Parts: sequence; C-alpha cells; structure tokens
Amino acid sequence: MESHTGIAVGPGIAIGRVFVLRRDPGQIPVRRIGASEVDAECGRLSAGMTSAAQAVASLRGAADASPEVSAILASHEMLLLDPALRGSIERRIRVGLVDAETAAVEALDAFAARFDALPDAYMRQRASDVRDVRRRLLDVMRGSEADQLARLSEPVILAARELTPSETAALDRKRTLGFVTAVGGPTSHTAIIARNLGLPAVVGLGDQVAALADGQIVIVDGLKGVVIVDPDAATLARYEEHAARFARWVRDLKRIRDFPAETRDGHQIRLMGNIELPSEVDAVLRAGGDGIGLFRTEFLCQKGKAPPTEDEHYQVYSEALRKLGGRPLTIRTFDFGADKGGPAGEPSAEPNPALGVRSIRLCLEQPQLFMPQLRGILRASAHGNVRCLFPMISSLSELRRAKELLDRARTDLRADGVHVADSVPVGVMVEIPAAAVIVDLLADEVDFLSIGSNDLIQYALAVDRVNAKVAHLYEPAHPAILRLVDRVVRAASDRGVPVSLCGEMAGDRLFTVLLVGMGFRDLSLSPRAIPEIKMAIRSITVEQARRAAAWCADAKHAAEVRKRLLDVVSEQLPSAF
Amino acid sequence: MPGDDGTCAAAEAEVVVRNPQGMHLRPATEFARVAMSTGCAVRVRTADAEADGASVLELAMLGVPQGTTLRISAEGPGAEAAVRRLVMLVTSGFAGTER
Repeated sequence: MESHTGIAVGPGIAIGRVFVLRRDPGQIPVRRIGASEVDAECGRLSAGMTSAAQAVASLRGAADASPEVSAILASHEMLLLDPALRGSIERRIRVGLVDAETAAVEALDAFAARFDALPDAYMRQRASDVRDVRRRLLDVMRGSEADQLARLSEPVILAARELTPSETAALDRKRTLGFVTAVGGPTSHTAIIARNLGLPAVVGLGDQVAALADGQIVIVDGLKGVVIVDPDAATLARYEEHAARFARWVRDLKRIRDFPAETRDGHQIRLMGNIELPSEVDAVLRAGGDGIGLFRTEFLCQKGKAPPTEDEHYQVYSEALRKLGGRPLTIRTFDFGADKGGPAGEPSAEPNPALGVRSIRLCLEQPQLFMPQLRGILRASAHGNVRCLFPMISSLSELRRAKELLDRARTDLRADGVHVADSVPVGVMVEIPAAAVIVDLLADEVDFLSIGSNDLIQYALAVDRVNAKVAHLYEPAHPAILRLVDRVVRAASDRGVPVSLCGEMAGDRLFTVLLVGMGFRDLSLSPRAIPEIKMAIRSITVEQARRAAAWCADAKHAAEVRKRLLDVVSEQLPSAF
Repeated sequence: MPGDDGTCAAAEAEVVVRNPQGMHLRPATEFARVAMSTGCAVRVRTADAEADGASVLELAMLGVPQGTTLRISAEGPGAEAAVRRLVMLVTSGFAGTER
C-alpha cells in the first residue's frame, strides 16, 4: 500500500481499478507548401476552425451540460472564432509556407507559452484551454483519432498526465469513477468540471501518476487530496463506508434543493442570498434561495469616476428584479468607508476610518452620491419586490433623515409623472451596538430589521477581525453578542416587524439551531451555504432549537455556547463525516 | 470613419474592472462575443497594452486584474451604443457569464 498527496479538486471518494490514458504525443509532420497553395491552405484552416467551433457549440448544447461546463466550452468556441488567432495562423502559412496544421500548432503553442508566462496563477492555467483547442482543431483537421475514453468497458479511475477540459467534459460518467492527474491546479478548468460532475479527483500528483499501472486498485480521496495505491483490507473497508456516507450526503443536498427550508415541525425559514454583483442572482436561485436579502451596491462606483447616475442604478436593479420574478430584492444603500474605501476608490484619510465618516453618514453628507441611488431604487420598484435597507444607522435622527430623503425622491419622481410602487419597505441594518440598544425605537419606524452580525460583533467586542493580532477575539458566540441579538429579535417580534440576520453567522451551520431557536424566520447568507443551511433547518424542530437557545442564553462563556451547539450539530444534523 | 448617416462614428470610454478575478477567460469570452456582435472595430487599451476587442486571446492575454482601468474604443456605425453596451457589461461584473 502506498499513499500519495496531491491537490483535492473533486468532491467525494472513488475506489476502483486504474486506467492509464496514454495519448499520441501529437507530433505532426511538417508539410512544405508552395506560394500557389497558400490560399487553399487558408481555406482549409477556415473550414477547420469553423467546424471545430460548431462541434464545441453542439457539445455545449447537450442537455446535460452544466452552466460551468457550458461556460468553458463557450470560451473554447470563441477561441476557435478568434480573429487574432486566425490572423496569426494565416500569417504563418503565408510567411513560413507550411501547411495549416503546422501553422496552427505553432501559433497555439506560442499563445499557450504566453499564458504560461502570465503572473496570475489562474490565468496561467488557461494555457491548458489553449492546448485543448489545439487538440480539437487538429482532430477535426486530421480526422478524429480513436478515442480511448470511448472504448472503456468497465468503470475505472482515469490516470493521465493532464486531462483537457473538453476531455473531462466528454467523460462517460457511467464508466468513470474519478481521476488523478500529474499536473493541474485547484482553479484549473479540469478541477471546476470535476466539482461540477461530482467526480472525485486529485490533481498535481506529479511523477506518482507515471508509476501507476493499468488494473491496480486505487482509492481517490477527493476531499483530502490523497491517493492510495493497492490499499490493504482495513483501509479499503474504512474508505468504502466513508464513500457511501459521502454519496448519501450529496444526494440529500441535491434532493432538497427545491424543498422549502422548513423545520421538522413545519416552521418555514426564508433563506435569501447575500450578493455583491448582479450576476450572482443566478447562483442564489440555483442554490434554491428565496430572494436577495442583501444586495451590496458598492460595485456600481468606479475608481476615480463620478458616482453612478440614476439611470445606471435603475438599470442594474431592474435587471436583478427581472431575474428574481417577484422574489424580494433587498438593496443596501452605499456602505462606503472603513475597509471598503471611498466611492471613488480612495483609501480613507481618517485616523480611525471604522469610526469615521462612513456608510450612511457619508451618504447623508453627499446628496449627489445618495439621491441618484434612492431615485434608482424607487424607479425600479415599479418592476418587482424592492426593499430599501439603510446601513450603519446609530440613531433615530439618522434614520429619519434617510427616510426624508427617500420621501423627497418619491415626491419628485411622482411630480415628474414617473411610476413608483405604492410602498417600498424600508429597513435598517442593526450593526452598531447603539442600534441594538435602541432597537425598540427604530423598530417603530421601519418595515423590517436586518442584523449585520459581522460589524455588530466587531463594534461590540472592539475587535478588527482583519487584524491578525486580535482576530481570535472575534467571537459570534460571545454572550454579549447573543444578548444583543436576542434583544433585537424580541423588540422586533413584540412589534410584528420582520427581522433577518445577514452576517457570516447565518451561513455557519453551527449557529443555525441557535438562530432558529432565538426566533429568526429570515436569514440571508452566501449562496454557496444555502443548501447546507437548508439541510440543517430541515433536521431540527423549533422546540429543540428553543431549548438550545435557552441553554446558550444562560452560558457564561463563548466556549460553553460552542460546545453545546457542536453537540446539537453532531447529534441532529446529517453530515458528510 | 464615416457611419451610415455620414457622421463620424467613433466613440470611447473608460471603465474599471470590478469582478474579483479580473478579466479572465470567461469575461473575455463574453466581451469578445458582444464586441463581435456590434459589428464595430473595437479596441481595448490598458496603461501599457492593447487588444482587439473581438479577440478572446488578446483580451485574456492583457492579464487584467481587478481594479484595472480599460479604455474601450469603437469605430463604425453604432459605435456610441457599442461602447455603452461594453461598458455596461464590464460594470455589471460581466453579468451573464455564469449562464
């Protein structure tokens, strides 16, 4: 038995016999051509590139292509249609007087080498996309070679120096258990596709792959990045159980995607997504989210530029609403300052930016920044379910001033005959301890509350969590935080005002039972975390959650709270391990 | 260059790349697709390099990280609208690249 460590890229565990993929190194003979043949060769090139692009397009149109695979293939299609690439190959044919294949290989290898030389690791890995396009073009131009993958008769673990993205995409799932490669990194397309297909994979194993022989039994642990060759009986048994449990977990997460986030005793929890860019709306919906609970809008400002116009706000919000089809879009107004810098990308000049002119304070001082956003939000409200969320409110007077500006924007728009929804719900972020303390006063004047736990914890505990020296003191389970949050939930429920929590706590399943038990029925979290949190909610009852929350409320230390919650998680929640 | 209506149809604008991974392959793909569909000759310049807007290879090769300012120019009929569409595409974090 031998164990090798590489980079874990594909989730899960595969056990099976290895099949080593040996490929024709792709050496092609150079054919010299005469000047009179140049046009004909360029014609062959053009036909080859077009039909290779069509082949990729049809692969992309296949019913089972996931969005990620499809996006990668879209890139390959555009590479095959690339005018600069075609120009470069044609020049080589014309000047070098060589055949189209030779010219294509030279041109694509030159591009791949330039990618290899880029400083950014992610871009460097794109060299494998260029090589994949090269292989595809040669296959089309020389007639496709017998594909070893298509000849596999029993399910195997594939071993190769490198699998190109389109080879990985074309793998027959039924005959492929997983794969191991010598090269490739965590952000290579091969890795992305492996995650997508749910194929266990380990890449970057180096020379170990060359030592593998057909038929050897191999365990691919795509969770830890370990490959075990010729395992003993005990290891094999342990991994078989491990693999079965993981497969069940994945199946369960997938199965509940379209199910409600509902506790075992029938209480619905609304799970919404936190996003930074409009393009992320799709990810939230794909993950089974019920809308957007926090749309950060800082991306709209461009470095060194004037603030966005009302129209730009309106376009972006309307587009998001169109995708959401009636689900809520909670737009947080500009939250510049502190770690986010100013609206024009400038670093803060204040000695203590976290306590300076940031967020709503800046907006109230700069109507030319704030009013176009408020008007954009109101105009977009005609197209869907818009909610307006003011960040960093610390007093009633700040809230009132912000609401006055919103009212003024509404009056102005209506005076101009612009259609605006009858009511746009207004909420505040509870993220300054002062807001949590006077939450009863704020709750009387808003339609909803949203606890920004990241900043609330930072301000309440006086801990800058990006400062490595004090980051260990940042603690959501601190009794002070639990008391502040509890205070907010009680004030909100006394007044019938909905309350949500949108910090990282919401996406950490350790805290799910606590938050449900404290009374939250709305959470907003990273789209990635939605399936797992939904699973956690579906595994508990509100009664259990209340007991856990009551116990945590009496705890004297964060460590006690964590231990209790960990017990609940390991007893109640299904898990991969 | 004169456009259909005989006016000089050329436009340009600057925009900052906002998405965390910069203009990697997928955004470049989307950009090239849109640039190609406008029918204009589109050029993209950074402080020290330049690319054909319809070439995914040249765009990706610019190696544009987050925060880079791009100067997008277009020539041909509808140049103004073409630049506007491309600026919007960059501003939105290449919305639609996930499709």
